[in-house]
Amino acid sequence: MKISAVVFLVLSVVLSENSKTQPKLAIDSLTIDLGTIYSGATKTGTITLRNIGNQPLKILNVQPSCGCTTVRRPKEVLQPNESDAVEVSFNSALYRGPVEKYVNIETNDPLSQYIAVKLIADVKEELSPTSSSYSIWLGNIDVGKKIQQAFRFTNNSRSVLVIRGITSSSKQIAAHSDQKQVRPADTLTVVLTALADKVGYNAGTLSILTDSKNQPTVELRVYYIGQKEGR
Amino acid sequence: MYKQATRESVLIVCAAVVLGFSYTLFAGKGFFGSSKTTGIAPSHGAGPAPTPISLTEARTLFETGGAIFVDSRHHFDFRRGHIRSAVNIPLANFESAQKTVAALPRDKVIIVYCDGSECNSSIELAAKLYEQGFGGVRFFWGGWQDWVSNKLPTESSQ
Repeated sequence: MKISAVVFLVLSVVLSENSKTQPKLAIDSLTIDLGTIYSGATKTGTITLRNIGNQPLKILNVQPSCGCTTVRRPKEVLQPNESDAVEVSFNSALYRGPVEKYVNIETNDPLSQYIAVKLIADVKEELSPTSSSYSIWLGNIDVGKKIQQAFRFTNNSRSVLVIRGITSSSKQIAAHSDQKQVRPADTLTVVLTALADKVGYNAGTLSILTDSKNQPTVELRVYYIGQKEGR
Repeated sequence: MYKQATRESVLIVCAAVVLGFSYTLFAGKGFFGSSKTTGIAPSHGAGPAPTPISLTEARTLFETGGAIFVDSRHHFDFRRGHIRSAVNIPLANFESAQKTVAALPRDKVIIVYCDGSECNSSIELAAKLYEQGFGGVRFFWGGWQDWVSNKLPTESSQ
């Protein structure tokens, strides 16, 4: 009985000491509000991580929830009372309207191992697609064949937009437009050509270059899957 | 006594060997088995290539149990919330998730989704599954955002 009491006492002391000596993460804000941003622009926000515990805080992972967000990683270990800033950059290309993304932080803080920081922005456009998205699914294309499709954009600004050119990130995807400018409320027609040169996933980005200060580049993401003929 | 024990041991071993070979001969396994490896052979699709699926169609398949949903987002996002009963195969971890891939049912529609129409991991994962021999894979373009905004069943692992 006496031995049990001693063991219980020792365990209690050890456990209570352990609960006192641990890393503890504090974040200055759980939301990064980037405000209004024009589609295609990149904006950066900052959050500060601080170790308010009395053991080293390990930052095990900082993972954005999408490829649209990049993170300047903080130090791997924060000593007690040490802090470091995390820069989060959001590329608004392909987005429209209100956007909500997350940056996930994993630490060795036993009480908050996983923390999600919300990133919000409101994406505006001057030249916007008439379809619902900047992402274009071309479907399944037989290998060796080309597909051609037209896409339209509306000029929502109050001024004439000059089209300076259209570039593509992929050799298999090309686009052109006969229009050199677009008047307010008018539409721009872009004709896209894609070649399936292999079986499987294909993607590329088209960039429409304009003279707009707010939205100098309008990006379109094009996807298709190459398939064996006759599928 | 010693000789008898040795003879019996040899007989038992021989019987075991004969029994073992007989089993493998009839079962087509082991020594007499074919050299085919198990798992998924890359065949560039056992059926049609992946196609998009609308929210209405995805919802119907969800309600009738005719589909399995595959979430291609990072495991952090999956933990925070996902379509109820979905399986998480992050695109970035596709190679290391082969056990999960192999366990996907072949008799159901596989619906792959990611965050929304701006992300491409669902299409890319659908294409990878197609390349690994899965036919009839669909990708849900509206993704997690569309599912949540329509207040359809979700769950979280937190």
